[in-house]
Amino acid sequence: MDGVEVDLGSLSCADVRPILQGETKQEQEERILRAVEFLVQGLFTLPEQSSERKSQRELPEPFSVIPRAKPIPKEKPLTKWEQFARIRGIRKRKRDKFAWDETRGEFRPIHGYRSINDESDQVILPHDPSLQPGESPFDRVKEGKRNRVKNNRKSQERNKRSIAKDQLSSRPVRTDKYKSKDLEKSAKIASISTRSLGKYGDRNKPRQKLSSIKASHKKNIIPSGAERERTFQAVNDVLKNF
Amino acid sequence: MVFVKVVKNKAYFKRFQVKPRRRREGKTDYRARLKLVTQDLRKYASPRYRLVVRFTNRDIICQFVYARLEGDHILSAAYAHELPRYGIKVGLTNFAAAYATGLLLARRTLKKLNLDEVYVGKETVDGEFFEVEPQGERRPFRAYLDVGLIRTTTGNKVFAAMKGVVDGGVDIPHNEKRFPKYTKEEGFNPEELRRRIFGQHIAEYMKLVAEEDKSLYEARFSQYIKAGVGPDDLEEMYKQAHSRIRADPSFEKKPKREVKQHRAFRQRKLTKEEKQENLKKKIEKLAMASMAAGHEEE
Amino acid sequence: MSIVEQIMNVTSPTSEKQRPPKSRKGKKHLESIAPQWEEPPKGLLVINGHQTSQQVKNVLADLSRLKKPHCRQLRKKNNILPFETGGEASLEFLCKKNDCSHFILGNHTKKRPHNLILGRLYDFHLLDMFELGVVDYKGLDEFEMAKQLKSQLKPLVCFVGDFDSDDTTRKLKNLFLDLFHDFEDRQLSLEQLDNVFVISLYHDRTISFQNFMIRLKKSDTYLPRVALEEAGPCIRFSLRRSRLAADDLWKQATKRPKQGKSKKNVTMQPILGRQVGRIHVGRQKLDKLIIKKQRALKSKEFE
Repeated sequence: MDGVEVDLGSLSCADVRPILQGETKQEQEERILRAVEFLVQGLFTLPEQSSERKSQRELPEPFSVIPRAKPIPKEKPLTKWEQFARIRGIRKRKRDKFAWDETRGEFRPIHGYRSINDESDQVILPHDPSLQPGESPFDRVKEGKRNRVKNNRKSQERNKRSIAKDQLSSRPVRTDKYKSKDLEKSAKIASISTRSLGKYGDRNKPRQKLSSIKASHKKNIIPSGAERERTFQAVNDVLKNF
Repeated sequence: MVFVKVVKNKAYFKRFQVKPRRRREGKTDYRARLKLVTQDLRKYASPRYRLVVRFTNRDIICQFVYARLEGDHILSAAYAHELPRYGIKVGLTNFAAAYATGLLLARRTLKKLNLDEVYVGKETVDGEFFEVEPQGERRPFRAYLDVGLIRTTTGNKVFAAMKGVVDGGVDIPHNEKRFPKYTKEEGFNPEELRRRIFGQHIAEYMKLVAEEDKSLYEARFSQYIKAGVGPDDLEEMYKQAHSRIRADPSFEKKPKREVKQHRAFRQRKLTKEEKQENLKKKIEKLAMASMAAGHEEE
Repeated sequence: MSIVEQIMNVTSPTSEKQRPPKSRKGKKHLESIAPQWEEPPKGLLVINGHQTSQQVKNVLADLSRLKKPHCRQLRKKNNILPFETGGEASLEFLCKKNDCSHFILGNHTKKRPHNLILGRLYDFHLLDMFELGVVDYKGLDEFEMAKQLKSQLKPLVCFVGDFDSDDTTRKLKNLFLDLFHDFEDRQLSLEQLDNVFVISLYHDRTISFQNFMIRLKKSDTYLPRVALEEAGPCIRFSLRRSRLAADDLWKQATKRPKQGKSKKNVTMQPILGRQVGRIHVGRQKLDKLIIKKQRALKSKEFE
C-alpha cells in the first residue's frame, strides 16, 4: 500500500507521508486506521504455530534496530579443569551435600567441616607402612590435608592469572601503566632485533640471553645535523634525475 | 545531660518515603500481590485471575478478580450470606460453609462462561485430591488462590473454600499439604477433609457439649436450636445444599428495601406568626404566675 | 579502537570488576542485573525534576501506568539537568541503581515550561535523549475507554508523518518503539491485540501521542476489519533540545550477538578429545566404481 510501511517483527507500522498543514483530524484518523488495519491483517496472515493454540503466532525478525541495554556478555574463560573436562566429556553433576552417618546416627556434610570422613576427627588410623620410625601418623594426615589445600589454592591462582591475562590482551594498551622493568626489557630486545625478525641473520649464531644484552639506545640516535645532511643527500639524489 | 544524636532529623523526614496507602493500613501484601497479578506476556495472553477468599465476622467472600489498568475488576462473586437460600441456615463462617461458598462461586462462574456443562467438577464429595483436566476444545478456567493476609496454617478455612472451587470444576494449582490433619508422617487424610466439608467436626462437638452440660449447649448453639438443626441433621443439610447449588447457582438479587421517610433531625425554623404566638403564651403564663403569687401574699 | 570504545572498556559499569558477593542473596542480585544474551524488557525510570508542574506530573503518572510493570517511579525531587555539562552523571547513577535503561524526567521552568526529557542508556551511559514540551494534554482518566485497558499492555505502535527525513525525528521514532515494544518477545497471541499507540509528527514539528483500543470486526474474508476507539492519554509535544548518540556508541549498542548455531554432526571424542565430524558421502555409484579389473568378473568371459 502506498506510504504505509509495516514491520511485523516489531508490531509497528508507519504512514510515512508527511502530515500537511491543512489536514483535518478526520483525515488523520483515516490514515491511522488504514495503517493499523494493514498491520493487524499482516499479523493474521502469519502462519499458525500449532493446531492446539490457534491464535499463537511467531513474529518474524524485526527490521528496526534497537540498541541493547547492556553489552553482550563475554563468555567466562574456562579454568584448566573445565578445559580438561570438556575434552574428556566429563559432565558436571549434582551431588548431595549431606549423607547419613551411621556411626553417629545423624546427617552430616560429605565434605568440609564436620564432614563424615573428616580425617582430623579420626581416633584410630590404619597402619601406614611408609611411616618413618617416630613419625606421628596423625601429623602425616594433617600434612596431607595442608598440601592438598595448598595445591588447590595454587591452581585457583593460576586460573585467576590466566583469566586476567586474557582480559588484559583484549583491553586497550595503556602505555603509562608499563613498568620501567618492562620498558627496559623491550628496549633490550629491540636493540638486537632485525627487520626480518632474524630470518636473514646468522643462523649459526647462538641465541643471546636477555640478561647478557646491554641496551644501547645511542645507536639509533643520529645527531640532528647528520640527519639533515642525509636527508638533503637523498632529496638531491632524487632531484638529479629530473 | 547526655548527648543524644538525633537520627530522625529534618533531613530524614525530608527524604522519608511513606509506604503505599494499603500497606500503611495493613490491608495488602504488595509482594504477594505483584506476583499474583503480573503475567508473563511473553508466554501468556490472558489476564491472571485470582480467587480471592476473605473472612469477616459474619460472612465469607469469594471472588474471581482480575487486574485492569484502572484497578481490579471482579468477574463474579459469591457470599456465605447467600447460603440460607440453599438450606444452610446456620454456621455461615465455618469450614463447611467456606466449602459451600467456594462451590457456589465456581458453579456460578462456569455458568457465566458457558463452561458448566463441560467442567462438572466432582459431584460426589469424598475429600479425595482432585484436579480439573482439560476436556474438549475449551480449556478449564484457571485461577490462583489469593489468601491475602490470612495465615496459611494447616486446615485453614481458605483451603476449604479453595477445595469447594476446585470441586466445582475450576482449575486452581494446589497440593494437599494444607488440608486438615495433614502431617509429614501420615500425609493427606481425605477422610478427615470429607468429615469437615459435611460439618461432622461440629456435630461431634455439639454432641459432646450436649452430653456434658445442657445449658451450655443451649447457650452455644442457640441459633442451631432456633433453626431446628441438630447434630445428626448436619450431613444431610450440607449434602442437599451442594446439590441445590449445582442445580441453580445463579445470583438472586435481593429486592431493594423500601426506604421510609427519613425522620428530620434538624429543627424547623419557626415563622413570625408562630414566634409571636409563642411569646403571647409565655407572657400570659408569666402574668398568671404573678397573679397567683399576689393572691398568696394577701 | 575508537575513543568511545576505550572509555567504555575502562569504565564499563557492567563489566567492571566487582567484589565477589558475600551472601547468596547478593549473588542472586548481581546475577539478575548482569548482562544477558536475551535481555529482559528495559525498565523506565520516572523522575521528577527540581520543579514539576501538575500537568507534567500527570503525564508522568499516565506514562508510567502504561509501562507497568516495567517502570519505576521516583517520588522525590531530583535536581537533574541532563543537558548541562556533567548533568547526566546523577541520572546514570539513578538508572543504574534502579536497573532501568530508559528514563523520563519531568520539570517545569520559566524558560522551558512543562518539560519532559525522554532518553535511554547503553551500559548505563547516556545514549540519546530528547526534550519535549507538553503543549496539550488530556489525561487517561478523562477517557471512558481507558477502563477497558488491561493491566499490562502489549501495544502495537503506529507512526504517522515523515519521521525519517531528519536524524533527530528518526531516532525519536526509534526511541518510542524501543520504549513500547519488547524486542526479545517473538511470540504473539492474536488475543493480545488490544491497543495501539499512535505517534504523529506534524508539519510544525510537534508530536502527538495517542492511544487507541483495537476492535476487531468480522468481514467477508478471513481477515478482520479494524475499528479504533480512543482510550487516552492524548498528549501533544513540541520538540525542544536533543542529544543524539555518537556513531561509535550507537554502533556498539546495536551490535547483535552472534547466534551460535549448533554444529550438526560434529562431536567431541570423549577420551582423546578430538573433534569428530560425520559426513554424508552420498550413494555410491557401483556401476561406475573403478576397481581392479579382473578377468573372472568380466561377464563376457563366461559366455
